[in-house]
Amino acid sequence: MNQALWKKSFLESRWLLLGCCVLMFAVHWLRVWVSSFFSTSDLESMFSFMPELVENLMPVSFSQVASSAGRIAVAYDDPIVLLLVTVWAISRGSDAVSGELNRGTMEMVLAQPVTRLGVLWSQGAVTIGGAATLATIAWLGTTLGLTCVTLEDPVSPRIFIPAALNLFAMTVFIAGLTTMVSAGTNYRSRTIGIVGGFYAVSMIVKIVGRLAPGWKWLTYGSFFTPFEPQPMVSNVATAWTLWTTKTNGSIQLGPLAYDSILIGLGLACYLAATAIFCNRDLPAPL
Amino acid sequence: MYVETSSLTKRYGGFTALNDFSFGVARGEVVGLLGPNGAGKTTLLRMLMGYLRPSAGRASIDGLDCYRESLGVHRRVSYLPGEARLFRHMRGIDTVDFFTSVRRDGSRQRAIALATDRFGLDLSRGVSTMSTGMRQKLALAVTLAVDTPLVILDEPTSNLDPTVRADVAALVLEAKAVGRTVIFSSHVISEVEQVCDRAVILRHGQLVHTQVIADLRKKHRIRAQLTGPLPSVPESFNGHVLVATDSAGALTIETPGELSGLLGWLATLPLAEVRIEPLGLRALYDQYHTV
Repeated sequence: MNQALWKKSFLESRWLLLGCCVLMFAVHWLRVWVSSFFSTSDLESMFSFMPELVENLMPVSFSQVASSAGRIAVAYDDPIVLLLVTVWAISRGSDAVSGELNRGTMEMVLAQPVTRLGVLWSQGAVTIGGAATLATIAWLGTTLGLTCVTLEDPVSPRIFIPAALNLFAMTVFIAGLTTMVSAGTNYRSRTIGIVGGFYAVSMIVKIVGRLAPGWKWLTYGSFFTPFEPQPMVSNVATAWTLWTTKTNGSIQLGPLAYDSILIGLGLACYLAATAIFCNRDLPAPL
Repeated sequence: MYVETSSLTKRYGGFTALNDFSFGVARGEVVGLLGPNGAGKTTLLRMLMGYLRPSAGRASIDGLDCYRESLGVHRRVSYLPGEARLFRHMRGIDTVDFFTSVRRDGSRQRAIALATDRFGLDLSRGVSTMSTGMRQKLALAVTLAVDTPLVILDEPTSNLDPTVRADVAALVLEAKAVGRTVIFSSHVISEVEQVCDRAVILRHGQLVHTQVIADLRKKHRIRAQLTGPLPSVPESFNGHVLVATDSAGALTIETPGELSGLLGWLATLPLAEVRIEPLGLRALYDQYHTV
């Protein structure tokens, strides 16, 4: 791949990445700091007043959330963290093709001796690299936070690595999906609209599947289902497994399987984006 | 032929943007594409660049299929799009750096010299703060700084002032002088007449006329008022001159060849108010594109 394309993609996204990294670090560091103000028993007594419906919405039990590790792990699916990775993935993915077409710069780029594949994957590599950076920064925020506070039951920073990996996997999926939509559209706003709609539907589907007893199957249609950073922290024994066998003999997918599903789907979307972009007519600058 | 199209066609649903277009450009030739908006000039150039998949037919550059082997084609071509949009987050110098480093044959020094000395640009300025004309000049500089055998320019002088237009014409002639092939589209007929070896006129996506400019320079139109009856045209001129009169006695004679042989015969005719003018590309263009 062409070094100039890499450099251009990186320079275009550097300020966004820097901003997301600062916020990501701050959210995770602050979460550890704030967690140090509470004790497990305080939180357990507070949760005892909450209705069961709320616990159904939580990915882990109240007792797990109340623990030191559980309180800190909440940061990995905190709305701000989700917003940061979503903003990164959608802004970079939508820029890959429809953004360049929208601005009219694709014509000049593709007039050079570079392949469409090279143009798309230089963008993709920077986006995935940014996703990895964000996940690493999240974990570093937690780690540094743990060195600055004293918790009643100390936890090792290592147990948060599966959660950070899960965050990375989710970012890769959203970026891949957005790039695929971007590859087939001419307007960046249209790409963002389509992916935003899909995102909202996926979230609703997961919530309904969790709350309504007969509708659990709905959760299989949401990409948020394999995004479960909190259980990955709370269940340390299974944190690095592809699957586990329950006592009744049934098989349950493990964190690595969840990550593989998200990364696999994300890469499949990137391949589909490549096929679409390499075979489409390029519209004249709009 | 260095550039060749064979029955090249592009359809968008029921609309045909380019229809059965066949032409060729020899190595070292400068060819101008003429036609009004929507005639198919940009579609043709974008198909040569491999941006559009042909609905039928084929286009090739140096024997390479323009759509299937676009990477090889782009190594041989330097292309300026009709609406050259540059990266707004970059400065002028960053733009030069990007376009001269993205390809091996890009010359940073030449691009800077063109942009600053020839076009008077300040490369420390951000692209977003440049005027449309300045951005066009910058795009021209990075396009012409590349040493490729073929240069394709889509309306390169749009948005430019007359002085820079003359500079662009000079640059095209310089490219021709070093043996580069140039294809460019324009709405400015005088520009095409000035720098091209051949003009190709398009209408509704079809090639309607090809004119060698050197032949055009031999063509003349003679206008006069008849003062008596017009004698019959000598047999030796049959098929070489076009003679037309109207009811008011106005005579028009068009000759595609040498004028000298005709002058003796003209002197014998009962004429007044004789005017001899070169036929020009404008007159030829108007034959196909009169409003």
